[in-house]
Amino acid sequence: MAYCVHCGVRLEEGARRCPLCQTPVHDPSAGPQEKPAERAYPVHTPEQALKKNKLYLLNWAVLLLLLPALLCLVLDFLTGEGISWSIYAAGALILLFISVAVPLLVSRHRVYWSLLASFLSLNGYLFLAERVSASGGWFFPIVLPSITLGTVMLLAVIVLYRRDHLNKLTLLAALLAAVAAQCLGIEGLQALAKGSGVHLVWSPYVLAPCVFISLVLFFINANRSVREEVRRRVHF
Amino acid sequence: MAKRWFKLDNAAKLYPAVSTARWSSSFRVSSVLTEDVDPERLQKALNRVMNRFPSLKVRMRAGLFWYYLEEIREPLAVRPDSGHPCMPFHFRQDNGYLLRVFYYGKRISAEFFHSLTDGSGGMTFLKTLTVEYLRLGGKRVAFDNGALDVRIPPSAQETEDAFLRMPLPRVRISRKESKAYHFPATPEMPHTLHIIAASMPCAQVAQKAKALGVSVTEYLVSVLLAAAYADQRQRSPRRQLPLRVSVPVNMRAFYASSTMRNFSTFVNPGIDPRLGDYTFEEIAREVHAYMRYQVNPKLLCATIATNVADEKNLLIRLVPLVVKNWVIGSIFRQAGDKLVTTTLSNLGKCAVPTGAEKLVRRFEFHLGSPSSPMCNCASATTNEELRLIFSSNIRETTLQREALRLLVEQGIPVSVESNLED
Repeated sequence: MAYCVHCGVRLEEGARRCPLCQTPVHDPSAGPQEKPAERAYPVHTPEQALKKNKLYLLNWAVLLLLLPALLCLVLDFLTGEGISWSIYAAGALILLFISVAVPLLVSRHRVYWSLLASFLSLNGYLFLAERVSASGGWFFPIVLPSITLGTVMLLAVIVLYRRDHLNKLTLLAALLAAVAAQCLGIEGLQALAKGSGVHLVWSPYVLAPCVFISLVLFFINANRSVREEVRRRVHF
Repeated sequence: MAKRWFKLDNAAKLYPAVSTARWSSSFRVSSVLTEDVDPERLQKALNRVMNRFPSLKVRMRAGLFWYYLEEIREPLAVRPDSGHPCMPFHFRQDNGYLLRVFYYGKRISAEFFHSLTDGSGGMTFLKTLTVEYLRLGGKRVAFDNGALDVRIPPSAQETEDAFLRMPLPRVRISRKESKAYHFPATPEMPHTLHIIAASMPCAQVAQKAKALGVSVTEYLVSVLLAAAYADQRQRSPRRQLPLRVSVPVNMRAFYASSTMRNFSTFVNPGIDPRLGDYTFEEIAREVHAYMRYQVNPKLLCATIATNVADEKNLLIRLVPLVVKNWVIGSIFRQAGDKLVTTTLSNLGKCAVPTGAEKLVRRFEFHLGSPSSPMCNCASATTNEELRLIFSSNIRETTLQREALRLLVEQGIPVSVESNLED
């Protein structure tokens, strides 16, 4: 029989700690323990493992995205000759499903796998769209290089951020710079595809503010006193 | 023959709507014998006893507008006890039984989904089961002191919805209350229930209560309030919230009914520390005054009438069950346990059936996991031993520790047991 030195309550036979305050029971006069006393409650064996929440979300994704996609295809097939318009709707839904499902299913390197999956699925979708629409000739010269460019830049930003080369300020600056480069790339590729020589029309309007803000952010980040000054004035 | 079915009573309607895969409202009653329990004999006793309680031998079924309870023909099996009692009930498991019977060492336990019955009904079932078990062992024990005779067929009154028979006034009483203080809590994983059981001599508790001029329940409520009061004052002296303890009230004490189904309501005595400092005596006086005023048939009926009126409203009745569940569920998650700091359900003196005085050490009663991260407690007294059991789904043991230390400081010897692994 033992009492807790802090709580003053009598403890269960054989208890090693006070259940109220976790103070260890220390009885200097107690001999070696003969047999373990019978506990008031059996040792817990967990009955059920938790249902995985992720699978629950995945079920919803299947229900909300894949099922309508299938429905579109079936309806299109039944009403017209073969599959025509439904490829766009179904493709978009499948695209969404992939972007939801991959992060749920993958547990290691989630960001990279998601990026790879969206790169592949987006290209696949647009390639199909080109084939179906028969407007032809825009996938390989324009779409594939721009998506590749965007993905590579995003990958670079992610890697830099994860390795602590970027803080929140420079992350924003890098993303803005990437947006600027992406716009420039798209318009440049368009011009190349037309064969009309590089003549920029709209991308400078995106490029200019993005590059300006990006440079300002890099400057603020690099200059400690400016950084402090900005923080002092705009903190909230 | 068509299966028998029951409508849910007024109190029971809430629970299926708010239960989830991880949580359902439940409680457990146990009897601790002087000898080890024989599972085979217990099974035999259970088979006989189940037919005596038709309102417990039921499964939950969903109708278009309400849930209902449907008779189960399959038998219920006893099982070895688990370390964490009162796990959630799933309506499709165990043939749909919303009741479980366990054995462990010298203890027989029964767990109930709260839609079936309340603590008092649960104790009647347990006493009957215990007496039948002892009788099968050749002991001469009588079916009295709260145990029902299994040789007599069940009466209609035992399965009635007693709420509907009460004289309900037309006036509605608002139960609006503000948020109450909750102990800071780290939630445990689901399917975890921490039990801390404290035993103390009832005579000494009663003596302390008498010195303050309050009842034992009021005294225990005051102890819990004082523990919470001290904790809140130390943690956040500036922003204080009211402290309240939810105390279930057995309506059978006011309206004679032998129903085995839910027939209880609750009151929430408490103090508001924003009004000033309280001594323990002041807390006890406050609780006493509140209970004397609130716990009378007229006021209790009026609060029940408010619930029953909702249940009888034609517009509400015609709403499909799915929508009802959603609405009730969201209201419950919004309000739920936020209005009270803790719960104390005191079953009071549980007399041992005649002839079993030497065979039953005590009866126990505790609540299941609270719906939000907190600690609840329940108590029952047998053979002059008051057993106060805390059940919580959080890691901290602040309430238990402070309340029991307070009892020790007041000169009451307390011994504790627990299912926490050291």
